[in-house]
Amino acid sequence: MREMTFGQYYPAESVIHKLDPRLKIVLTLAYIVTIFFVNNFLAFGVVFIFLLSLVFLSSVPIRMILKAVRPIMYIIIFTAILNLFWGVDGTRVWNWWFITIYREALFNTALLMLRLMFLVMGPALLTLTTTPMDLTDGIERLLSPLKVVRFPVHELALVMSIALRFIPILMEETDKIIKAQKSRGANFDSGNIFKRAAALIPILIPLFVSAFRRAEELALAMDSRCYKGGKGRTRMKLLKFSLTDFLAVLGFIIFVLCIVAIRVHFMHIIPVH
Amino acid sequence: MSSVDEIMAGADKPVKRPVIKVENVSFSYPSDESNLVLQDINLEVFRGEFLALLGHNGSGKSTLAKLFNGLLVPLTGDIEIFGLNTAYEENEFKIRRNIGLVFQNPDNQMVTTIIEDDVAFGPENVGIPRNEIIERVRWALDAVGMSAYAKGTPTRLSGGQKQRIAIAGVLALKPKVIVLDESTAMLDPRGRREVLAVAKRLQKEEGITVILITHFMEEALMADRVVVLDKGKVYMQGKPLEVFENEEALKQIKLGAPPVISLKNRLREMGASINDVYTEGELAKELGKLI
Amino acid sequence: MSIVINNLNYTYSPRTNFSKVALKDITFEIKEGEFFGIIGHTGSGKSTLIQHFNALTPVQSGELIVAGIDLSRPKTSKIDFKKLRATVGMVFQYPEYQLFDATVLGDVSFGPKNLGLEKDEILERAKQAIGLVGLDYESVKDKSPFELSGGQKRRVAIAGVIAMKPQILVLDEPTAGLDPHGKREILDLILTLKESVSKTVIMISHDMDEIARLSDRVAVLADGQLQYLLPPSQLFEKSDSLEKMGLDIPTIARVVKHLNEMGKNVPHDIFTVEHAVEYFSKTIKNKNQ
Repeated sequence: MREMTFGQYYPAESVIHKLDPRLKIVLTLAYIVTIFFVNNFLAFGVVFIFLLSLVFLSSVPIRMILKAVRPIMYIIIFTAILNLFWGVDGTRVWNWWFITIYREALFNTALLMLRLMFLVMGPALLTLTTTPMDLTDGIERLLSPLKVVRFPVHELALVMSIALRFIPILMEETDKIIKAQKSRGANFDSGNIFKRAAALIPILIPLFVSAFRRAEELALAMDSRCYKGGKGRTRMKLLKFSLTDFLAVLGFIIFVLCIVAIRVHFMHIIPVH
Repeated sequence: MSSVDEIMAGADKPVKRPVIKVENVSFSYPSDESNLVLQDINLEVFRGEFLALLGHNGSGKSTLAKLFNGLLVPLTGDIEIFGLNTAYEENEFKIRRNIGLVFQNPDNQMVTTIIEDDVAFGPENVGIPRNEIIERVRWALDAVGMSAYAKGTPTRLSGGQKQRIAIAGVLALKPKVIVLDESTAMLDPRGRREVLAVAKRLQKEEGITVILITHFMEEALMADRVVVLDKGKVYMQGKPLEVFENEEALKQIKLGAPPVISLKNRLREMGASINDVYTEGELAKELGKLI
Repeated sequence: MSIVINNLNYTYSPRTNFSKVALKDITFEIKEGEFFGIIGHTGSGKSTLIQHFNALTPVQSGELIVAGIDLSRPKTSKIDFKKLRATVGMVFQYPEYQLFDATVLGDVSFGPKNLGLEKDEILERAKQAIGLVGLDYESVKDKSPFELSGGQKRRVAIAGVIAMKPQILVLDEPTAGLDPHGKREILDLILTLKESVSKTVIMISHDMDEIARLSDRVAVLADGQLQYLLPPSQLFEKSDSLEKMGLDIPTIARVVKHLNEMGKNVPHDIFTVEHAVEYFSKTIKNKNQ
């Protein structure tokens, strides 16, 4: 438990790691939108090659990317099965009792599964190559125009940063409290659902008490260090666009153009919809 | 010229001027107003000195620390920092920039997951230009001997190392005074030694006034002056040896002298002629002459 | 009611990139009725070791028999956890951070309740435990543990363990964060508990002074290995290597060490002020005669 860190950052020195976090966030969002425009296998081939080259450039092991898909595998399979029996018209490929599978549904399902998987892999690459701190920083700066409408951008970023700082501490603390209550004979693994929920009280209450105590102390420490909100603050870290950032934008534009071209010109190759 | 600079400018003049002046201060928390945590405290802290504030839990020593930088305001009486009264809100940030507080729990003082970002937090808050922040962060981490960890995360550091980062975070505001509010209480002996060594170095090399709040008697031996608090009152004060000489008085409030001094005191009572000593080595030399 | 440890090994996150050896070939025995001290700096493996005694950390390799219960068997499902945890009471570091119930009585009753005892027995034990730790039952039983003072909270937490009437009491840094007076009180309390409830006491501490003062034998751990297992009277013959391990030896033991380095012959079993006063006053008198 002690070794766990929040997020899933994979430390390495790659071009992808070094990209400006703001750019990475924006491009990931653009990537997600692009994925929704992809509706045939050829385009997914392009997405696959694009993603594979990014993974290669980032020196993150492929299994780490695949790991990100695992938690939502059930959702993908469930959606796929629903989708498979949904198609009501077209060429029958299989028939048994009242179940009929159509060719169109089969294609749709395959595309859906691919879409969901690629949708998860893109953001996974973002979190694997960007430290939580850089992500927070990037988000803060991207949202900073909202300050004009009094949206608490700085406060939001600070809250995220503090959360990142304290999650491992509180996890370790939870581990300790569980052990202490276990040694007082507490049993968390048996009984019905109500009993199990009740068994959590001796863990949750000390945890909340501790979190509040820590929050109070942190507030005092921040006060002492002259914290007075975002107004008049300067920043040590400067985010600057570099040549690689421009190349990344260029690469991404080429990727999007490919996808658009395929959608416009090669629609007829694979008969879908 | 701000009043802070004035006091600093006057420092080389023969007259000692206090950086902190506590006058007839009493205090109680709003949740328990009848209980006076501090009663009629009078205290002066002078520029460049190393002051140890001793006392039990509940003696009021941590409350006093929070009064020093205006986190709390006296019920009655006045506290002046470089001549600035802590009771006035407009003085708040001037005071806090100049009095750095380091707390007890090393885990509850850091706001970010990257060490150098955390050290930069203070200077960022007061709007120091970026280049100077970089300079200050480098200097502060260097001063506590943690430069090698600048880009790292605090998760795997020892308690002593985390506490040194906390000191660096305070130091980056370039304060004239640092208050260590039981900052060694949760550390193991190695961590305590690290933190104390840093505090002593800051006093000697950077001329920073250090106030060490602690309940470890032996830590007070490194101070220039000791103030003992009991039940919210100043119980004793003086040079460490003067205070610890009077072991009986300390025992009455369930404190004691550090082992070296205690052994010396008791052998002296029995008629042995032993000179004043601070360290084990000095005591061994004295004893060596006698046996 | 002894603890037998044979070639105990433990590795954190084994078979990963951040695997870390915490215990290496630990072998020793803690006898019934002993006050057993364990000392070592942070990360020496001492906390990992004692968590084995209660099966909070499962045995990876080696043998461990606690009060006749074999914890080293490959099938941990066969361990009678209830019996084990009733036998070995564990007071963690800063135990007051585990308090949760609305009342002191409720919190102290938590352990006995989990043991499945009768209502009367639970109440009786809670009452007794609260008294034993030096709190007034009638005046604290209905109070919230959160409104007590720091020292009182720690006592309530210890009472919660004592109410299970453990034969073996394990304490991890029981005096951490307390002022000198609070420290003395808790150490006195532990001695009382050893007389009345738990025959065997195992205590971890950073403070060599309190460990040496109280223990019958002391185990010194460094880098997951047992370095020494000695009675305190012989421990400070090893002052040099203890200091090399980053351990603080008691101030008076350091004075003795200096004197020996100066060619004086002072016994190494002197490490308390009282003992030193007695020894030096006698020696000085003898010399003057």
